[in-house]
Amino acid sequence: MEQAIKAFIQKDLMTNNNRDTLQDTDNLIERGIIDSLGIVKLLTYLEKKFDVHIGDDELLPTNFETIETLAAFIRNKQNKTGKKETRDAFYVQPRL
Amino acid sequence: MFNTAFMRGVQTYEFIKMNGWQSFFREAVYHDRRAFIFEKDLREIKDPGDLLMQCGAEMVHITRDAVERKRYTYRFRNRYLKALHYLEKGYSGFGVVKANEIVGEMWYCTDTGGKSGPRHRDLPWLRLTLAPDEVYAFDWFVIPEQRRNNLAGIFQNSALHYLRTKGFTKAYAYVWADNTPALWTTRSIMKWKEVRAEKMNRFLITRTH
Repeated sequence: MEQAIKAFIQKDLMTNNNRDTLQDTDNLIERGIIDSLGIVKLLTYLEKKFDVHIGDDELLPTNFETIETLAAFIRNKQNKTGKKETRDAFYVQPRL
Repeated sequence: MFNTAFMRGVQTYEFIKMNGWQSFFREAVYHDRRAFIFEKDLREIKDPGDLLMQCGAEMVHITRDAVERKRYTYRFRNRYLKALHYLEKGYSGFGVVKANEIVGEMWYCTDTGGKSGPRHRDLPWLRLTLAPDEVYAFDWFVIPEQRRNNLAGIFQNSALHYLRTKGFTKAYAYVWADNTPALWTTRSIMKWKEVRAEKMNRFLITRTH
């Protein structure tokens, strides 16, 4: 899961100049990687890829701080709903 | 009354033109829409220095004279009309200017409103009562093309720092729960502290809570 999230962030949220420097423990907020537009892209990706719904109460810096914390957050949500990690989400729940 | 109606008409037209009818109805009709109320201790704000200048921008006070004389250009006519409306109510505002164009704004008021005295209409439904050294910040806006590279954050910091130098110690604001970019910016980037959530109903111009 960490690798998938990292690959998405490097491809869609970072520029060519700095994407190779990304570590799993880097603070994504302080590095400016997740800005106001990036968070929308990231949420759309996470919800579709891992079949979870992230509520506005969960849009907290502690959940998105690093790739590690983000992966742990997603796994925790999946465990609560009984869903397994999927590589390809064929069915996408519309965001209400 | 006429001027306000004209302003609302222009606002509606430009909103629909930019965002479509669906977005307009989502903004005009809702039930139990949740808003998060935030506060910011202005004593935490550090001097932003010349960060705005590095972005090729400067912060200005939006004055009646500047607006009426069209000292700066506005991308959207409704923003220009709103500025006149807010100034008439006695509210104060900052603008971020690039190449003589107002590309962003932030407005604020105290509990007694402005010269006309009335409280801002948001304060009752937000259940906010401001101390004399506190402000209510509202209608943060940055034109879509400038919503990158943290210009909004730097502008907000500059505006809040200025208020700090004028003796204000706290600012309040609200963000709709469904406004993900603004919610993220407020909570995680600008680190405002969440106070509580409130719900609001609206049917066109009628609001209840």
